[in-house]
Amino acid sequence: MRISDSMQTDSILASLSSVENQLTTASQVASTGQKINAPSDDPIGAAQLARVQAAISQGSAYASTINTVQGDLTMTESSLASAVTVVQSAQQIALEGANGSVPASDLQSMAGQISQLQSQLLSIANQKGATGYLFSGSQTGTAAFSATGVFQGDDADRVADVGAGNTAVVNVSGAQAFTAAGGVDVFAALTALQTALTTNDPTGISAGVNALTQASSQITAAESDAGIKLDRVTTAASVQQQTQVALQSTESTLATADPAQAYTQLQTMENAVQQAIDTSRITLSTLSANRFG
Amino acid sequence: MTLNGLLNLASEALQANAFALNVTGQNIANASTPGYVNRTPILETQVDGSLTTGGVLATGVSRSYDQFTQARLYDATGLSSAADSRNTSLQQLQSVFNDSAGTGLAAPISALFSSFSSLAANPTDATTREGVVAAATGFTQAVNAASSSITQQRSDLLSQAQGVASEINGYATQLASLNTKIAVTQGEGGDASDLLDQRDQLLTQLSADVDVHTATDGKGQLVVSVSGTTLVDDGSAATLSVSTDTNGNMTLLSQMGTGPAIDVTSQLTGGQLAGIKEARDVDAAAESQSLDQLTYDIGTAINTQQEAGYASDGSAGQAIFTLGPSAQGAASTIAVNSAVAANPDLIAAASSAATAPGGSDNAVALANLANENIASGGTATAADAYASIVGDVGLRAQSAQQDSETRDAMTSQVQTMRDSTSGVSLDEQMVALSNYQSAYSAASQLITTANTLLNGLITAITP
Repeated sequence: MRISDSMQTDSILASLSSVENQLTTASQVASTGQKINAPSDDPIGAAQLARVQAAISQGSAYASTINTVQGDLTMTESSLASAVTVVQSAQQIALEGANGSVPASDLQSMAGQISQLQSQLLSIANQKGATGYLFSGSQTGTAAFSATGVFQGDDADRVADVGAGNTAVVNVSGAQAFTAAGGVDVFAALTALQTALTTNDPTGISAGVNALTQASSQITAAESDAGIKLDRVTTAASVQQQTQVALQSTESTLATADPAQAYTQLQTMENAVQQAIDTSRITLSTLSANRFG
Repeated sequence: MTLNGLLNLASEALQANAFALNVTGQNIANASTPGYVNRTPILETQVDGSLTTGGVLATGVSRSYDQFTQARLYDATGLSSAADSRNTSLQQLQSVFNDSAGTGLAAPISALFSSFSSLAANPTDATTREGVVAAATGFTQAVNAASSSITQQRSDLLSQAQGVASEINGYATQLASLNTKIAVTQGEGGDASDLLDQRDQLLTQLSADVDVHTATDGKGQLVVSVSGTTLVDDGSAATLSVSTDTNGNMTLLSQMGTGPAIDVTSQLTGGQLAGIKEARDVDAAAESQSLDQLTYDIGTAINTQQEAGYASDGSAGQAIFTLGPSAQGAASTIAVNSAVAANPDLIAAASSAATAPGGSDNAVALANLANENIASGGTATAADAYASIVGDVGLRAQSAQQDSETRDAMTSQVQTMRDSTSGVSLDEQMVALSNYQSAYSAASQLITTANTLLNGLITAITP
């Protein structure tokens, strides 16, 4: 083949620009630490990455939801436990009052204690969590019970997303725990007991004892309901965490460049560029040697 | 043969070798001139009638030129230049969907669904509701920006194509005028090598803009056709113009003189114009359409679910997004319903008026849309549909890049073949130079010899 001068210079230029292109790519990978710097670097990987990243971001949303509802459910559970204690105390007092041999003045003071316990129970039932009043059903902006113990909420379930396609009920019905919907209207029962004690009405007092026994088991049932719901959310949380870890590892496999490989590649390309420059220099100096001298 | 004949012979040799040295000088001077074709002096023995005088005559130069290689060079240049401009455009296009550089839509889309998920956990919290409005606004703004970026690229590509068309028209005028000059020069028996070089160089430049084919007409004149239509015939040149059709696609029109403008878009196969057309009307148009469809699907699904729910005040849910009746243009026009933006309590978290404001069934349903096949005609989730846009634009950009590399390699191979035939080799010229130089010196010596002989003869016969 006949070799003209422009062929030689063109081929020098072409090989220099080719190795320099590769150097640019290698240095981009090494400096960003990312294998995929544009979708064209790996179209299928980029598409997978977009999916994985969407799932990760969705996962963080689930995680924050789980945090919120876990807090509220824990608070619900402990509130109900306190409520059981309060009701049981009232029950004790009622049992003493039902004895028949209690002097009238003591009955008055017992009625006072019941009134105290009632307002204590009211404040427990009107407990507020991160998402509003815990026992108001869907009426989270309204206190569950009025000062006179009238239920102001509803019996609705509130649900939240705790995983992909995994919804959980995140409240315990205040209606079921404290009102006639669950069997006994606890506040009405306490009011009745208080009246019975004040008026020294033995039948009323013993009816109160029965009502409170029922109320206690009713609230305990609600408490265990809260426990079951909390368990469910906790399980969802651990599933969520595992999924998130798996997703993040996939993301890193797809997107992150292996540093050792990236730097080796960069070094190789730097050497290649240096060699290409040296070779070009030799060729060019041969070409421009004093041929016509 | 006489001694005078010897002098004559030497004088012819001096002239011929001086001519050859001159041609060598031209070759050396133009070793780096683009488009210059190596020339060889044509030296012939002098024939006087039927009598060989043994003299030498420089009859002209031959250009080391192969018209097939040249034609292949136009083809290859056209194809690689098409691939290069498509590649450049696609690198820009994919930057719209480059999530690794933070410019994609993956984050705004998942933020939108995540905001519903947060809303489900805490439907009465004002900040959470503001968060949903912010995520919805973020989504519409990101989609609007992506759409306008594609539109801007398409309009830039059109202006670029118009620039290329006017460059082509400039080349056409020059080619027509060169055609005339070459015809005149060759008619007068002159050497048109320089003009031919210029014409070939112009054709090579033209082939980077549009696909070029050349032919010779009956009169031996060059006819240049581009995109299936005649651009230059003898001394007349057609005018190309770029505009858009009713669908907004780029069209290429050709008009010769005052004749009718012909639409030659469909025959466009090479050069920047072809690359621009493909990037603009195939690649960018497809991504723009997918983006519109995805936006419309997400918007519609969310609006429908939102309308099934109830706002904080128990009123029926109203659309979060304002959308047109069809997917077309959805990405550029989608916006957050101003009523909802002004009052986040209108976001329908509850599934019935009775469970408002704390009910969250509808918020859960809204969040769950992220996992439902709401996009691509009910076959993919929003995230999947977006991922396939990313994959598609990536594949297009990758194949454009590979095409561009392959075709560049092909072009440089053809260029090498062309340079092998037509390029100047300084080594060769150095040999030629010393060859002609020796011949010239020898011819001078011939004169001296003839002169000495003549002088000797004159001295001998003069008393």
